[in-house]
Amino acid sequence: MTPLQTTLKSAFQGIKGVKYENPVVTKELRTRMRGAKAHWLMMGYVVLLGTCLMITYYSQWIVTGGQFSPDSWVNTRFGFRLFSALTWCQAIVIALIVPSLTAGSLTLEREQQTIEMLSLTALSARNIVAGKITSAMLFILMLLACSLPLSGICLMFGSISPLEILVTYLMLIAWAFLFSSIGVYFSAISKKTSGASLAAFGTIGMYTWFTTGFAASSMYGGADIAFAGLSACTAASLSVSMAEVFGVSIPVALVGILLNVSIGLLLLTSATTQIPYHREQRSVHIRLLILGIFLVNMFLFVGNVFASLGVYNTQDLIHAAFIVLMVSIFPFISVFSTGPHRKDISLWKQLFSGRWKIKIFENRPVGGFWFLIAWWIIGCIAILICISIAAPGVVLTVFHRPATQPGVDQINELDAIFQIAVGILGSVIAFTSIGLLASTIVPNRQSAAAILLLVMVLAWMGYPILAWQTENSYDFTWGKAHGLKWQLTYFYPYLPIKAALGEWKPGSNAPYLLTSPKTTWVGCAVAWGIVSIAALSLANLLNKRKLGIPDDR
Amino acid sequence: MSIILRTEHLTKVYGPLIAVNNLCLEINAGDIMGFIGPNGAGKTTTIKMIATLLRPTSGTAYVNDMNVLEHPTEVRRMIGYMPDFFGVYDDVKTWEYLDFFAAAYKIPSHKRKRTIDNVLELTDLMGKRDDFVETLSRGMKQRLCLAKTLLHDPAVLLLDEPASGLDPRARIDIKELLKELKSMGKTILISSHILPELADFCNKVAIIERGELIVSGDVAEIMGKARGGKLLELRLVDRFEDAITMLSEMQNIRSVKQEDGILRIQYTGEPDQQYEILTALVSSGFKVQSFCEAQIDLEDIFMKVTTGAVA
Ligand SMILES: Nc1ncnc2c1ncn2[C@@H]1O[C@H](COP(=O)(O)OP(=O)(O)OP(=O)(O)O)[C@@H](O)[C@H]1O
Ligand SMILES: [Mg+2]
Repeated sequence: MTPLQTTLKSAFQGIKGVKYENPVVTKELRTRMRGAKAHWLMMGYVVLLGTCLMITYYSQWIVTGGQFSPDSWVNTRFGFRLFSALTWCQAIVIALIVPSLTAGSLTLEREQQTIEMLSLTALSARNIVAGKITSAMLFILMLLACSLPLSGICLMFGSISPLEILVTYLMLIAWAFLFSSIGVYFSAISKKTSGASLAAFGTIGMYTWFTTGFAASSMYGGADIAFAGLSACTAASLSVSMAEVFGVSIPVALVGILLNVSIGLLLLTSATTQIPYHREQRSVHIRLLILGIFLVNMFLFVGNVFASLGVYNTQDLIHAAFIVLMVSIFPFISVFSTGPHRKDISLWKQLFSGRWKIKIFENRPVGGFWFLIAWWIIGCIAILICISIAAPGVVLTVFHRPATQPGVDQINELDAIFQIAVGILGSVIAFTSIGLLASTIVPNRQSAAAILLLVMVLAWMGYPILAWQTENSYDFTWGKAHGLKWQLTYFYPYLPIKAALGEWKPGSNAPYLLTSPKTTWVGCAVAWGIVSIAALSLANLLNKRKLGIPDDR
Repeated sequence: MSIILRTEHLTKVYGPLIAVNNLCLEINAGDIMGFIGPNGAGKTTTIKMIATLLRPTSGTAYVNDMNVLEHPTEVRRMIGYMPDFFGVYDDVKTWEYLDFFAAAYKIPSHKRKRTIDNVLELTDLMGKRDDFVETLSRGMKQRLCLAKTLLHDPAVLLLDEPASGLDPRARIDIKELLKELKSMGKTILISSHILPELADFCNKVAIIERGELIVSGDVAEIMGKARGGKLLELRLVDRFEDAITMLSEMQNIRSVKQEDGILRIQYTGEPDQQYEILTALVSSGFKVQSFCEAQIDLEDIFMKVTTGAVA
């Protein structure tokens, strides 16, 4: 044997050595592909897509009266139109099929009482979840492969390039991956398959609706939005589009694929922690992943808005950035700040002693407490960086409406960001503390989260309702602003933004400020700080009573 | 003999309920221990804690000196656990079911077929190799589950009521199988509340009630302690009252009770003097139908133990 042959042979054996085997995949595929049902499904899929193509084809035929003249407007990019219809159809069918493929993946193991036996084997939780998602994805890939000949037909009509078709398929795969992950995730956290299916269908439906709406507004609204590639429904149209982010062109498809895949990975990582008896410490990965996805979104969003600054001004830019930050952090407060506390040491000690670096990733509500604060600070720093890149050194002119008299003010944008950051930090800490308190009072994590969500909704909705009521019921004069009700403005989480950016347009029912808008943020921070201290003290007191009672898990 | 399974102050608390309280058990390699207790005694809870499926509130267990809390992965490799309630996958054939678990236990693919055939042979399911598991009878499913438990050749078997819900015939099959496993040198912890099914092959017994271990040790030793004698059963055609009067006056007989036409005699004398009772009865003209030792030994212990006769 020559040296070359030996090398080749050992290389080949090396490749054979890494042969991947996941028994879960083998088993799932064995049952899924058994008998004729898989073939019928594949055939149904192709027939459906074929019908869709045919309808599109003939609708064009009818419009042109059977005359395919090259200069007729309906015939422009005819192949593209066909492929676009095909992609829409595939994206929707995938969204409909995926929950039924994945939502039962782990709940069925629970319902059939096989999960204990499965988790005692040498398979890790990660192996199990990987097996479930791989088998679902292999099935979807098979369906997508079945549709390739139809795409070939579209290609023959011209006006669409093989690259566009390739990118569209990649987007469809990322789309299917995200949805499969959503299905597996809900399957991991639910007891019943029916519940998991419902939640998966709902989430997938919402995601499809929003992302497709987003993409549509991007397509018809001039400038392309970086997030337009999230939806696969419109993938054909956007496969080679570029979006401007801080003056750099980024392929929309790439953003969509990467975001969909990373959200999917995040959900799968969370799912592994939910399989019983494999309590691996995964909260570090999950939190870092969430933070990463959020920061990328933030950067893309602000950069994107900046790219179309003709439409927006700096005030709107800051406002939008904080809205993104708040929308991404507030729902997570109820996730991270609830759960069982340790019962061997007091809550104060859990919160304030020990190494904070470890604390942030601790899989307990107190860890969530520090993580949320860190998240808020990192988010604000990100906003600061984005804004100073996008619109450096802008002085904002703000309109405000203090209790005493309305007026106009000047504020440096960085000061405004700082004021908003500190002002809202107070309410972030307060809501988190209320989450800790709720977890001490009710043992069940879901109930604690529900209580906290209720408190948050009240805080967000209470003030606007009050203001709306007052303005409509009375002939409102400045003097009434000193009424007790208006002290509540400080508990309106949105107020620091309103005060610092002066969101008062004529006729709006924005809050009346008790003090000068320059100090409103201090008022908000102090008001929520008092709430935080009260909630934490009460939680500590209640937790002390439970000290020594061991955890029941 | 080396201790292969040991629990140390194993405790599990569910809210106000102490399901298992301070349980200390020791099982030697090769032992078959019957783990007995009424419904809700905490048997399943204990076994699950040993099987690394449930985190103890306090205390721990060791399998082959491996702590179940610190080395769950190693422990899982050494134990075979058969749950009291379990399901099978839909739309899977018997051999595929076993092949799945064999692969999940990382048995190399070239050894899998032989391993599967071995366990199928052992559990007498060879004829059902290509049948779908959901078409198997309850007893066969039970044996299939046991077969699955044996795939990775575990040293310790934790069997939670392996014969529950089976007819007597199937129960005997399982018993035969367990005897075979015993002869293969496996250590078995088997729980049950049906006592007779454990009687003839356990050499150790542990009795648990309301989470508390009441007694544990050698079957023979505990039997002696619990009873202070033997239980004899006597069937007569008639003249029960006369027989009771006569027997009560005899030496070495502690008590005589009549139940459904059977006289239960508490005998404290030597086994080789037992025949004297029969001789006396026959010579007094009693029509004896049968005369034998009661078989339900463990049940007898159990009733005594759980009513406080032995501490
Ligand atoms: N998840 C749980 N939550 C609360 N209590 C539980 C839980 N699991 C078991 N228990 C309680 O713990 C006690 C012991 O239950 P366990 O299942 O161990 O009994 P067992 O001896 O196996 O009974 P059986 O013979 O009926 O199988 C029971 O009182 C039961 O109600
Ligand atoms: Mg039980």
